[in-house]
Amino acid sequence: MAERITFDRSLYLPEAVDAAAAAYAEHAHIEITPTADAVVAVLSDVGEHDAQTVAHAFCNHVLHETIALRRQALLQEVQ
Amino acid sequence: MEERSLTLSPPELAEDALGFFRWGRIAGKVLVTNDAGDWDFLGESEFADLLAGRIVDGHPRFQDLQRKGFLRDGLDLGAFAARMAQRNRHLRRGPHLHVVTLTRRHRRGGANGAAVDASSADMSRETAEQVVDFALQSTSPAIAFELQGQGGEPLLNLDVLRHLVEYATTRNKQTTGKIMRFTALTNFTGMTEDAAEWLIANDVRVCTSLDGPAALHDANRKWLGGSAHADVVRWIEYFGRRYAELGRDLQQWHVDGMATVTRQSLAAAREIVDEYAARGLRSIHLRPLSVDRFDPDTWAAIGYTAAEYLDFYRRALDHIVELNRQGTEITERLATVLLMKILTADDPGVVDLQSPSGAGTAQLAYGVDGRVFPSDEARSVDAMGDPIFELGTVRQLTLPEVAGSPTVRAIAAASLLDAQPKCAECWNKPFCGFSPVRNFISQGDLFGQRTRCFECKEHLAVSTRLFELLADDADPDTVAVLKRWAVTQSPFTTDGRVSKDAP
Repeated sequence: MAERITFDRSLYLPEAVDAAAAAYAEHAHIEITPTADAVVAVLSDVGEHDAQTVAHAFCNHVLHETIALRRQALLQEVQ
Repeated sequence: MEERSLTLSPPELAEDALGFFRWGRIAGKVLVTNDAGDWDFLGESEFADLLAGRIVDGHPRFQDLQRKGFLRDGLDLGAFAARMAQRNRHLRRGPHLHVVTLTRRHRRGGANGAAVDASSADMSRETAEQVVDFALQSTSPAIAFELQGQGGEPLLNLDVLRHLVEYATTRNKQTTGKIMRFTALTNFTGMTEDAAEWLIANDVRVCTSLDGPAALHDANRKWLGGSAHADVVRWIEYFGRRYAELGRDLQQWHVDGMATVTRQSLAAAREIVDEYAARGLRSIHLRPLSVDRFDPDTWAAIGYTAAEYLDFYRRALDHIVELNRQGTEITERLATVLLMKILTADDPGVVDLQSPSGAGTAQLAYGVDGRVFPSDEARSVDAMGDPIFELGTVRQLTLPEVAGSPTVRAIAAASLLDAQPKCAECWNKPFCGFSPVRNFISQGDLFGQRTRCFECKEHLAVSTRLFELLADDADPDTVAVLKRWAVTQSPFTTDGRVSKDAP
């Protein structure tokens, strides 16, 4: 069954969703659809893995990518 | 393909009768644990009774399970909350572990450690004072300074080490009056009798590397640096003799040893433990290698899989327990920390075995230039060229700014086990924790995936073995040994971190 996750742009960077989708490509088929105020990811084909576990780990990775991208941008500003 | 079917019947479940708990199967029993750190073993039929709501007043397990919060009937929510608060007291304590890197110099590759310019490689006296003033801002009633060198020997900057200790002691007496502890993580390459006597006189504890018998220890030094076995043993004996001559409590005052485990160590679990016992050491800290610290060629020579390490660990732990049963008092550090979490109502204060991780809230690390990092691992990420975890410098920052920094908050969010897939359902959750910074190093992701996380495998395997031993009703002597480890350790010998690199 497909897992549909909405990442609100007020918190998550669209580039972070893309990066996480690339990182999780071997674990699931992930379709990304940008909208005006969010990015929607639909996960399917998770193989033998538990779909919810993959979805939760994917969400955490999107958050990590957002944190890292924002931090890197801040460091570049300071430099 | 042959089609086969399996009929599963869901267990009878009375959700409204149950407190929140997690469970797993260990040693033929069902282990149930909850967020207050309470746990119990149940037989299969008892577990079925629990799920079905059949454990009611009059059932032989009712009182135990009610008291521990596994049943809603008569649940004392106030007492349960108090137990949770006590287990999570680190959240309101303030940074208590301050890891100070005094020098980036090391003796490897140079006869006298002078290969790197000391003016930029050493912490200055002024910076050391600023680090102390910064650390003393902490609300924690106890402060532990771990004094280290990036190459394993802080004594290469002995003048500043002495100044930091003396300044901190004086400032503490003048101002905050905290309980203060100093530990030098030394590989003994810079140790002299004068330095040793000063460390003893000024209550600076000593932690070093001893990887096992001479042949193994000296073989490891090819890869890991540090002193030869004979030198390490000479200094361990020196400190042990002097502590005894001075009438110190040897339970508290002894050299702590860390054994770094290489591939060559895997076949020598008993010999490593026996070496520690023969040297009179009271504790051993078995340290696995981290694949990220080595180039592929070196890892191919000395590395191993997680399964190989955990098999080694189990054999070593079982031998340590057996020595204790025969009257030799020696503990293993990770097992002791986990036992304190399992068998006592308190938290032993180990910053990287907490949820959320204590990086930035319980631990801070300082570079030689006074830059502040949420943990020593974060400082090492900077030393590898990525300043992503840098919080600022002791000259600019205040401790409230550290606690509120986005970096520290991100680390806390990433290490909250309740929000981690797999951890949230794991029976070991009340006793576990991991380092997001290590996840960042090993997986490029603060959160990390549990299946790729070595710490996850390590903590689960060690807890499983400890619960297997605790479950054995036929072996009360072993249970007594484990209980002694948990209750006789002073917080001074257990708080700190389990992740520190061997000097």
